[in-house]
Amino acid sequence: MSKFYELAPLNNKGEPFPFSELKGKVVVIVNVASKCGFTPQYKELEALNKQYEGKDVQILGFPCNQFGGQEPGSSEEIASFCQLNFGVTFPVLQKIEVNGDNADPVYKYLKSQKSGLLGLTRIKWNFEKFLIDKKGNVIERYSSVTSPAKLSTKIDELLKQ
Amino acid sequence: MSDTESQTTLEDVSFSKILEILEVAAEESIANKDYLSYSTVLDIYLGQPSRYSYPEREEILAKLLSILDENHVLTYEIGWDLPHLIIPYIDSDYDFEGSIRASPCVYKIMKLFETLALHGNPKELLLKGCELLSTLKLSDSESVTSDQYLQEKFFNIKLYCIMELLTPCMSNIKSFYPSRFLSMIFTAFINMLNQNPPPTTTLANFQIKRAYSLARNYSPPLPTPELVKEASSQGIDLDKVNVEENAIIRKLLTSFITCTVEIVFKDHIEGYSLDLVSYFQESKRDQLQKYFDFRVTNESMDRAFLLSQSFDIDPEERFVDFVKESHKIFKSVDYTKDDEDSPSTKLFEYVLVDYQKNIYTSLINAEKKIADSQYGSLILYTHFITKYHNIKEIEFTFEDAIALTLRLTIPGMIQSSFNNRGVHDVSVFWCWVAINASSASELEEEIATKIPPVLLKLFIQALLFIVISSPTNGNFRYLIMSLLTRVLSLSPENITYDFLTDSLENCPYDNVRVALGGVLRELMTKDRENISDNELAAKLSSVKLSTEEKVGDEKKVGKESSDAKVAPPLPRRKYITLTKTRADQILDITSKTHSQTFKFSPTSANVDISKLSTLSACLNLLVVIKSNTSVDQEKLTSILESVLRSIEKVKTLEKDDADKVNAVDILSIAVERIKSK
Repeated sequence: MSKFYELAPLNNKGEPFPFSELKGKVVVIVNVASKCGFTPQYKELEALNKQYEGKDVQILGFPCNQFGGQEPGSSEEIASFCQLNFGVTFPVLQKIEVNGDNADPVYKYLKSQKSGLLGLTRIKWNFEKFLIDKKGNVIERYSSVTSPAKLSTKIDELLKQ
Repeated sequence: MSDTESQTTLEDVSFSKILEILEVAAEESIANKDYLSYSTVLDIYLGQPSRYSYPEREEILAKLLSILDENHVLTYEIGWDLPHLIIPYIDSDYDFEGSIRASPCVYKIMKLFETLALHGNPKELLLKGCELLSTLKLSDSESVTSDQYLQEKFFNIKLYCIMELLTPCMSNIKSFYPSRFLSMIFTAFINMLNQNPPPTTTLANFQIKRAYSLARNYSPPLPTPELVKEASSQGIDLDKVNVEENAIIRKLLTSFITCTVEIVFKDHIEGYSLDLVSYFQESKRDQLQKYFDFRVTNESMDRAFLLSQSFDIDPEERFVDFVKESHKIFKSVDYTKDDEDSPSTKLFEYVLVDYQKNIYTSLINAEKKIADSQYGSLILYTHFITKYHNIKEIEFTFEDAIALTLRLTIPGMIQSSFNNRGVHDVSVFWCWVAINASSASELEEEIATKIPPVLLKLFIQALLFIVISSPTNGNFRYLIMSLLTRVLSLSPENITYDFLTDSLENCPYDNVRVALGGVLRELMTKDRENISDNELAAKLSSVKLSTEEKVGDEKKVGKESSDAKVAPPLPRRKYITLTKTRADQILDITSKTHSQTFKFSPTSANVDISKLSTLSACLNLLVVIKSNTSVDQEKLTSILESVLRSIEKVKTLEKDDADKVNAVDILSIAVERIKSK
């Protein structure tokens, strides 16, 4: 079994969100921020979420304040921001760090599985995306500039597997 | 035709005619495909902005913009020749009270650069743009203003415009080897930084921001179908090339960001040590009692740190490695041998070799390899620690602080161009971390048992060197002097005394000499408090002699000590004990300083003001030791009489020079204080 399913980050209420419940699903994981130039991607992520409603696809957002201090709010404020401004219905979990010693185990794992642009391991900016297949393998890593809509081809491919 | 004749001819042409010439010449050059001639026309008419009024400059640039916008072929062919012609138009009489856009010509120049970026030949523009960037100077605006603030503003706009041109040009170049163009821009930027050490924090931040934007936004261009085809026809393994290119680009990015930080901080003290000591004071004193209150808030550096993390740099790991490597250097010396190649000579040699081999880099190191700046990495890590004050989690000893400080300071002691004030700040920061992490007795023990005297003496000299290297930053100097005093108070007495008297006699910097005279006075008069003897005494006095309790287990010891037999308290002693030899030496220094201060002729008195302050410091020292039995009273009286005679002579011979009279009068006060019972 993939180690991915052993991970259990906290949701925005501080309760565990066990990845074991994601078995059999294609998962998109994004580090998000409310005050970033890429924040409008929330809307595209939600569109992607709606596109795969009822299918085995799960999008998860991890708020992170490590890039330009663009996610300063509390978990409640972030959740409210996402809901009010972009109608986000996919889970936005607890705020974490994605780089450095205090990086969340989820990100330590994801980064160890897939390097990013130029072969760099660490997250470069907000809204980098990881795509995980139904068996918990990290398949792709997309930079901030990649529009969420562009993930759908690969998601479709993974759903067929 | 002579230059004068040429100039006369040009000046005779009316402005409206010049605009017409620009337009007609453009049409002709396109028709004849003679683009080089148009370049010459532009050189002639745009090459001297001061020839035009500001409204005319706006107009001529607007004309050029419309010509280039309408004739992309021309833009492609001659665009490379334009940046160096246009950039000087940014200099103006604008006072920046309004927006930057309102500054004459700036908007037009930005639009021109945009046109060049879109329609110019990217390779040629990149080459010329890098050349321009490399030679950009703050002083370029001296012809329009002597105001440093305004010069900085113009410089920033020029830098911004050039970077806005270079970045898209780089992306538009189709090549198998994008790293070559990236390294060109990085090199030009580093050259620009080296030529323009930031005189202000604002400029330092601006430079870091530009470097940050350049590095963060860089993404190598994807291979075009044409390139893929070309690679296939040439038998180039594009995947392999890409892997190699990515590796080079990664190195370039990390080297660039760390080198930028190092160079920007070369003459710039951010104040990390001040921030740290303010933080320490916070927990120990209330706000009003703080000596100073300083907090580093530097968003540019916050971002640079995060970017370094994104580039897979682990600043903490690098810091730990740097300290380890520093220890290796200092442990490679045999401190017991003191032949003609003394340990300190060897140390200087080793540190210098290490600097040249491992530390010096400007993207490329001595081995011609792309290398990160170790100084830059240390500054970034110290910035991060300062931001969150998470020092409690760090194990950093005084021995570490000595190794770090010496490795960072010695190169600058040998060659001033190796000096970096940013790492001086870093050294002082980590020295305070180490001092704060241990008690005085622990530090004293560490110094006595682990630090060879040669190393300790060098460390003390290094701290003094940092003081001397920071002549203008009052709070920072104060902080290092406090650190130096603290270190001296923890060091073996003879080392402290020798250092202070030697400095009082030989240090070439007057104000430092005077300050050190004050430190000597403090250490000769103050009882050792709260350090080893008293702590030891306290521990001993509370030990229940009959039990097997550990001395260090204070809580237990305290509870059970009420009925215990207590050891007698140790007698208090000064940090520096005044012996007969020392008293004689101080009198000799005073006497010598007195003779160096005054030179008399039958009609005039020459007072060396720089020595006067040292003499004053010596006399103030005598004020506090005068009654000590070690002081030869006869010798003391003789010196005082000599000083008084000199004062009187100055007052007589130079009675019309109020400055001299006032200066020597201050000495009288000290002499009177010594003479009073």
